[in-house]
Amino acid sequence: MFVLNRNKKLLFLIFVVPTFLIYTYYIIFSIINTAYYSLTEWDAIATPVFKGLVHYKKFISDKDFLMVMRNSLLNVAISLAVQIPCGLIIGYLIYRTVRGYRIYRFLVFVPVVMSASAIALLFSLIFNTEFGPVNVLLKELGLGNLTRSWLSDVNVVYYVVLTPMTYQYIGLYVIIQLSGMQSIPEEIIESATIDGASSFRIFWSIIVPLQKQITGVCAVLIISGCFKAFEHSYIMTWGGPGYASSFLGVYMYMETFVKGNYGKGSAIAMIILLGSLLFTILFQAFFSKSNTE
Amino acid sequence: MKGKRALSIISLTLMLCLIFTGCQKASTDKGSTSSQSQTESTGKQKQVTIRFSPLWGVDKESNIARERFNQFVKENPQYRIELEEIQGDEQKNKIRVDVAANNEPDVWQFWPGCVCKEYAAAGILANVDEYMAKSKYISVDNFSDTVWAPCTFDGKRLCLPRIGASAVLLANKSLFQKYNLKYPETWEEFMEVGRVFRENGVTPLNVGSKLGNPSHFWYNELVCQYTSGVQDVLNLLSDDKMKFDTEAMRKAAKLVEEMRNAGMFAEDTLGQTGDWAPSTAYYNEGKSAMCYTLSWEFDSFSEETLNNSEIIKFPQLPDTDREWNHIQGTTNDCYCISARGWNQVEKQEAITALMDLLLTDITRDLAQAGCIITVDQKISKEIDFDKIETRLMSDVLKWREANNIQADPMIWQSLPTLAVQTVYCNALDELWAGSISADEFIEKCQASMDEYLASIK
Repeated sequence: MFVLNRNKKLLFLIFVVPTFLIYTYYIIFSIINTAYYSLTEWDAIATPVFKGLVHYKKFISDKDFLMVMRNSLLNVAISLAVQIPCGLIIGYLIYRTVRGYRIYRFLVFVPVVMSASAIALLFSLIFNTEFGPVNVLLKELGLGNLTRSWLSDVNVVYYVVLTPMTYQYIGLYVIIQLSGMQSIPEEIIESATIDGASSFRIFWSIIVPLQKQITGVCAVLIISGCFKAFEHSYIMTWGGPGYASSFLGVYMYMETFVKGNYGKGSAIAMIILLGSLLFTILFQAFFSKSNTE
Repeated sequence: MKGKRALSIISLTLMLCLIFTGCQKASTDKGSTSSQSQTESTGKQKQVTIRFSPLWGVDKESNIARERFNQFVKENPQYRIELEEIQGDEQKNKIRVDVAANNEPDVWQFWPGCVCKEYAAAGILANVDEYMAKSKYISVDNFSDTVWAPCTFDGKRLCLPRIGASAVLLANKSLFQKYNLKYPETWEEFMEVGRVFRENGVTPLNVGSKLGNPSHFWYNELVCQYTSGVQDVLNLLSDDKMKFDTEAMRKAAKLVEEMRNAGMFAEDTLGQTGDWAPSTAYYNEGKSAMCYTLSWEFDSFSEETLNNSEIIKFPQLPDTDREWNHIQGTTNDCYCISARGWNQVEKQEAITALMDLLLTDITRDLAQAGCIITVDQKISKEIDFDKIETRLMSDVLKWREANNIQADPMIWQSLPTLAVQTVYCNALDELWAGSISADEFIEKCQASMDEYLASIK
């Protein structure tokens, strides 16, 4: 027995340690490095100069940062409000579909596997002021006064960029919710049906409560995704005009790689990390508490 | 049990072998691309390896350059030149990351002025006087003082001028004829023709703004209508004198605001006409009556568009104190030699040969093909304007010569850091889109400059 345990420990060390070392170097060490650079003024050319929390202090009064932060938090709120209900409703519809549910599942998931850049490019053409279908349709419907310069009007550009971002990943949450629904015992649904419950009633009183854990997971994925949002904003508008359609990811890219402020960019990266962690912990606590109750 | 143990040992051995093989290959590669030269014995000749990063894509200019380059490589087997082609502003990211990793190429194509300034201050760039001392073809006299200016830092020439630029303002002949308009020469005439075009559903001017392109040139034209404006731009090169909030800069911003409010630009200055290709295409498709663009776009115009276009003067402001014959056009980009690479004596011959090729044969070919405007005075005299393949380039160069057009300095290039330059470009996007006023634009740019000045104290 003693010999067996020693072998197991040896195997554990041999197979887990390399992975642990790689993870530590590429993830943990990178985070520590980023945290250090966030406390410095560094242009990646000269030696970093330690400045403490100067970047974090400046963020409090930096209008551009506050706008970008607002954009990111609003993105989280809208994504949670749209993607989770859509995931639940569309997932439920597919769950209750008898014929062709595989086709619907496939169609819903196609945008998720497409390149975000392709989707962003597509939507930038859709919203093109000159020939984009949106403006053309509005004019055809006699709503010409609603046409806009969708990609340069600061009042709407944020929502225009948010649209493909929100749309693309609904399919992912549909699949996740659907997987959860498929693990619900069939007898529960059958009993409810026999007792005369309507589809809506089954959805509201059985499916939604039982899907809380899954919904919690979706919420965590949405939050971390929103904080890292980059491609759609960058491809469609480069985060502009100014930073009107920027998110933290784009802002970090602009500060780091366009302006050369690696120190400030690292500080933004740390805020993305800490923000994601904070929201994740809060949501997990919320959903755990709900489950306990 | 024994079988499982054997399988575990085999898997582990395979995994370790793969790791060691991969690491060994990586360390070999790092050795060959690091700043230490790798001399490979090819039997009789020792081969020197250098790395070169040009801004080559799939356009005519890049194809011509690549063809010449490949011929050079074939004729000089003693040099192994590793190409790291990249396009556009991504080069700034690449070089910065490479420098941070102590792994910059030996030679790269770049932009002078503020883009090079940080590298110059950190000692990354070799003094090109040392290259010119070895070169049989290139000396200081090949370029004028004005051309050298953005390549000179603290009195040292740290990069080599590659090409110049020239702006041009084109008018769509048929549209002007259709509405019985004559080509504007004054600002009032310009705004008036703009009003007529706008009323008839035609965008007057194709200039949009996406990260400052092409708007920063148009803004610069307005600033340089004043002698004080030209001085303001030159003052940007000096930490003691630089100031963005000047009378000329404010006036120019107000004029852009006026143009914006009068509908002189496309409705969507970011999506429709933001950046070079979209703004050129906008005019090419007949959607704007006038086109302001720079020389690297001259190859993009169709024959039909050029037949229907006329080069016109930049409209003169009522209070301008300069003659009309000036336009944007200065040293636009350059070549940099890595100090680390140059300091390896065995690489100097290869670098010298490469630079000679780039600055002579390739420059000559590109200039004659009409892809670039050379800033080399000696090569410039050899170019036959009538035989330039790109028609608009030929027309513009003849027009410039006939009217003795002077080149104005560039704000974008003269700003102190990349950060200030980015704020300036972003603010231009906002000004063009109408999301900030002229005063807010000036305040943003000045605030960014103040932040830079505070950081160097």
